[in-house]
Amino acid sequence: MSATPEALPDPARPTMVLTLYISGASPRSSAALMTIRRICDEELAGRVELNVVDIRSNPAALVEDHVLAVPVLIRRWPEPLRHIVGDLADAERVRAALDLAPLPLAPESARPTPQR
Amino acid sequence: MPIHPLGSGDTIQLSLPGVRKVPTGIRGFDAISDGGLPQGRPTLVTGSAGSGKTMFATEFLVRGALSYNEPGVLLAFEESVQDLAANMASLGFDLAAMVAARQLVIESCRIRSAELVLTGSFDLEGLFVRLETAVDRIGAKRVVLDTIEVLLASFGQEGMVRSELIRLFDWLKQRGLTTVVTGERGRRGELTLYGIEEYVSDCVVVLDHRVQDEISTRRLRLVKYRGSIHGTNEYPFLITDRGFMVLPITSLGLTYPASRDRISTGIVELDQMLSGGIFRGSTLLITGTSGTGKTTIMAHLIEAACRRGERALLISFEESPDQLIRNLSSVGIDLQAWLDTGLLLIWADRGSSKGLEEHLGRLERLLDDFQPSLAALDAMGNLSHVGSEREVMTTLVREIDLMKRRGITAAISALTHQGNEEKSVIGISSITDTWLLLRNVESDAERNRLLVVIKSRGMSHSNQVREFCITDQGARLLDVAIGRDGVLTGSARAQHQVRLQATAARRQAEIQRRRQALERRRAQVEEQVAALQEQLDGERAELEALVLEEQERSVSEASLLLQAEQNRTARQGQGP
Repeated sequence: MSATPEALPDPARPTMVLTLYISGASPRSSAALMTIRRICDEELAGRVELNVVDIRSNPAALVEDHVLAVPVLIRRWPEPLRHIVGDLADAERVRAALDLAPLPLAPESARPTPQR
Repeated sequence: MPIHPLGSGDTIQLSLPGVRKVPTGIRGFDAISDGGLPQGRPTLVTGSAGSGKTMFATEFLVRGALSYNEPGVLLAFEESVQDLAANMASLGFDLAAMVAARQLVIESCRIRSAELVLTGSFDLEGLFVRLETAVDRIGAKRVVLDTIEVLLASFGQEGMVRSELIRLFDWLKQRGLTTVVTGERGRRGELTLYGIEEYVSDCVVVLDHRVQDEISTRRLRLVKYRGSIHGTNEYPFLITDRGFMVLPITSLGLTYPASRDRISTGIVELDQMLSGGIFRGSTLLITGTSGTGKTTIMAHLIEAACRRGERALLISFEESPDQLIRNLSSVGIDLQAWLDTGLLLIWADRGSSKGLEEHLGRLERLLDDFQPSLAALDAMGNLSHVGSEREVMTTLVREIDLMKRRGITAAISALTHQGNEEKSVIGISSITDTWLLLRNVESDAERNRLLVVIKSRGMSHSNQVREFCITDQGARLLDVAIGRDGVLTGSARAQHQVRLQATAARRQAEIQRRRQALERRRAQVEEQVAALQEQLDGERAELEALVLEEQERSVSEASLLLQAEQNRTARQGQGP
């Protein structure tokens, strides 16, 4: 949060800072990790800093970040701070919380074919 | 709410086997719960906002760490750590120092709903890890979750959060952590807003904070305590500068040994009314309007105790020792003499300079130092300017408790007001064993005193209203005189006496008169009888005379006949 608005054009500076708290290899945590990795790779490549923390490896961080529910994706930057709780299954809400545009192909029926 | 059948009364014996308890250290609570909270199990403490549940929970932790070497973890779901520390500082607890000393861990677990976006299923593993880390860090034995049920509202997915809470409580039980979970009462009287009591089935404590007649009252109730005996009544409690204080009102008299030894009240007739005096260690309440003689009865009790060679303590809220001694010497009671022997101690305290708490503390020290066998409190109404009526009541209950526990006979006088003599002491009358009511009656332009025994537990006692006289030889009770309009007192009694005598004299005179009349009548009758007898005698004499005359006549007739016969016979012999 030391970032300033002028930092935005700086290509070295990521436009988004995320932390994902996971609980080992639980199914929910794995699902959340896969989802956020895909978004980062496909849509935010080079512009995002993603830290993945296992809750058992760093309990002190849980206190600092007020974490109770897991998995949780914390959007530290840009502000406002957001706690995106759950396995990230609700894609629309995840995209909205990360300020990403809605998926271009809106109708659900048009999406059974895998999009590369 | 299922309540153990044995729990319908008060604490009467130790716990049933199986439930071990840990003392909370909260004053009074361990007595009413028969030892504290169930060890290694969760307890729900619920109440409306401001009822003191957070204070109860925090004091449970603080006392555990300070008095029982049981460190504790507090997870605050509603308040910030700073707010908690500030609240507890007002009770004299320095939470920051305790945290530094590794006696406590305090963590804020507030959920900021505005920051929250739900995107799928989750669990509360983060909470588990934090709690476990904190418990392990200081070797905690106690845990407080204040107020964990806000999670049910914050996260939305209620079913999921509920199953996580069940898992949490299972984990707490497994780890043997004695836990206090706070909850907020529902508006329609539900125990908690979100039904968290489902998971905390062992022990439920309900706190209540009401304002009645502009007097705030706090009550505590144990509504459920599985496998244990406990008092089911409501207990008043205070939040003092030394923390919580629960006042176990109605457990009195059941946990103390009851003496069968009677002691004299110092008034012979009153002892008779009570079939031999009051029980040693019992509590005597004397109520009456001002000037009915309450202090005099107390003085008799004190004198009687000193006469037996026992120590007596007189606590006066209205008069100085000097004034008391002077006034009572006028009715023939010499308190100075007993002061000189050291058997009597007078403590005069107006109460206004000190709070009720301090008053209680000083009494306790006096009882411990002086060790009296009898203590008299005169008169309790005078404390009412120090606190609300209810606070005074609860303090008094506490004072009675202090005395009962030590087997001290207690006499308490209470000033009541004309018209509601019996109502104004309702709060305290139930915990006293004997209740004397004094009353002024005004008739024939004078005031006289009446005394009645309203109740006296465990003894037969007179149901009569007696006239109560204060003479220069002390108090006396006079036998009742019952007139057309009730008990007669004073000059009405005297008048009644005169009337009674006059009536008796009248009756005597009447008898005399009747007796004389009868005598006269008897003489009359005798006279008549005599006259009749005379008449009868006369008649009889007449008759006899007649009879005689008749006989004479027949004799003469017969002799004439005989004469004639003789003559005829003589004539025949002269013939042929």
